[in-house]
Amino acid sequence: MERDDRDIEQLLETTDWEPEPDPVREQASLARLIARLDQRRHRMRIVARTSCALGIVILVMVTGTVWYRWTRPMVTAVHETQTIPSSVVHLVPAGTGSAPNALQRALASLTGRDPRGLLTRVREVARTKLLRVELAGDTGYLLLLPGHGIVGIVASSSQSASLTEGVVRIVPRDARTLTAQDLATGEKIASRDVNVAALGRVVEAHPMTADVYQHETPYPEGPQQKPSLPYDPTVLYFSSGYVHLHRVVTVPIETADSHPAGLFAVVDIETQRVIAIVDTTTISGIILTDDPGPQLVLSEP
Amino acid sequence: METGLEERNDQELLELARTDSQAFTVLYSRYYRHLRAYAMSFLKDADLADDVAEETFVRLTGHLGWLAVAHRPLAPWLFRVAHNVAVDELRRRSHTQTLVQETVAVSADPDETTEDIQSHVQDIRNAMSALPPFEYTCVTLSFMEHKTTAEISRQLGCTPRQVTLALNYAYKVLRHALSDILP
Repeated sequence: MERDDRDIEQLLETTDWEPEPDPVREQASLARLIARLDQRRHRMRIVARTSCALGIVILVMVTGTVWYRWTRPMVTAVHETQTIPSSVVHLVPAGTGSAPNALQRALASLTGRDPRGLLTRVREVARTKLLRVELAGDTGYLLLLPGHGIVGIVASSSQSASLTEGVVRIVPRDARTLTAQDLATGEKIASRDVNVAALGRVVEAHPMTADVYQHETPYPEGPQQKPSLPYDPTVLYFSSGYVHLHRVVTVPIETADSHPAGLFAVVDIETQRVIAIVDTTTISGIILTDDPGPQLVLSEP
Repeated sequence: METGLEERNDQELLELARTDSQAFTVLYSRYYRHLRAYAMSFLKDADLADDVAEETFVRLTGHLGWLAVAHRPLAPWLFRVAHNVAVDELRRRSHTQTLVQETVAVSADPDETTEDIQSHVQDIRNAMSALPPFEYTCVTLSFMEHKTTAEISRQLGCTPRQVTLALNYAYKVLRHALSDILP
């Protein structure tokens, strides 16, 4: 420190240059500050508790939503396939499909799996209410309409050959030509169908090339009885048996959001029913229906 | 008051003051008078100086957590805030000069005025108002708290060299301002 500063230092040392505050006012000021501090602490505690509670609620909601979205489709699929059609039974590998016990059900619900092992993956078909459910062993898939059950069964193309063994392929030239009246009938049948109505509305039907496979019905008295049967233009006779000819019409379905989803109702004019609803954007394989109905192969669109 | 709080340093008190009002009271008693004096050197008004000191502590209540976590030295921060608040007050007064003059006239303490006339206290206060916040803090801690350079440097979070330089600068400013009363 410089020697010349001693006079300044002495002046500052000997002079009480800080003004004396008013003790009453000082205490009042302190009391106000303490009250403010307490109020602030209280507010911070409320904010912290609220934030914590809000964080927990958000975490639970997000986790619950993710969990629900992850497991809900499979839960729906399992519920909708409690009764499996016989045609699906042909598809799934042997050994699956047994009734699960309570533990298996609990584990399956925790992991979002089908306790029977029949169904492997489930996803929603874009812009529709349909669920596409893959079958075990990649043997095919089901189309499910929640609340209505299975509306379409499609075996993979690799399965088609074996599934059509023992059936007769009716080539288009064997079947009767589709008329405008058939198309109108197909539209009418499709528009009356509850599953179709649940998905959207039908638009103008059009014929799609369809190979129909059918199990032959053997002659009751053996092959020799064939000539004795009365002639029926809807029946195709073979040496070992006969099949009924089916006319199949495909009717496009327009979904509620007006997007072309590629959904088609396959209508059998003969039996007056919708055989299946298929998503033709992903179709590859044979369309199965309950035995002994027709088995169809739609050409790729 | 909790035993030993007076001996705690500013950082420890800041940490405690988040949940303990007694720790805040210790900080208040440690700095209120100095901040008031500092504001007084600017504003020349006891009431306004009280307001500035209180406002400085109000702002401290909102920054307790930040100051405790950031390990910022408290004293320079307080004097800087007091300086800013006082400057804002001066600015406001310049807009309402007439009103302020009336306020000053009413709020001036006659006892303090008499005391200032008797000694050179008012001259020193005026001279001190020319000091920047850091230099003012160093002078206050040195001559009001009677702390050594090392203690001041620890409290302000700086080197002893910086404290010495600040004091030398303060002496220079004060010498210039108090040339009439110095021998």
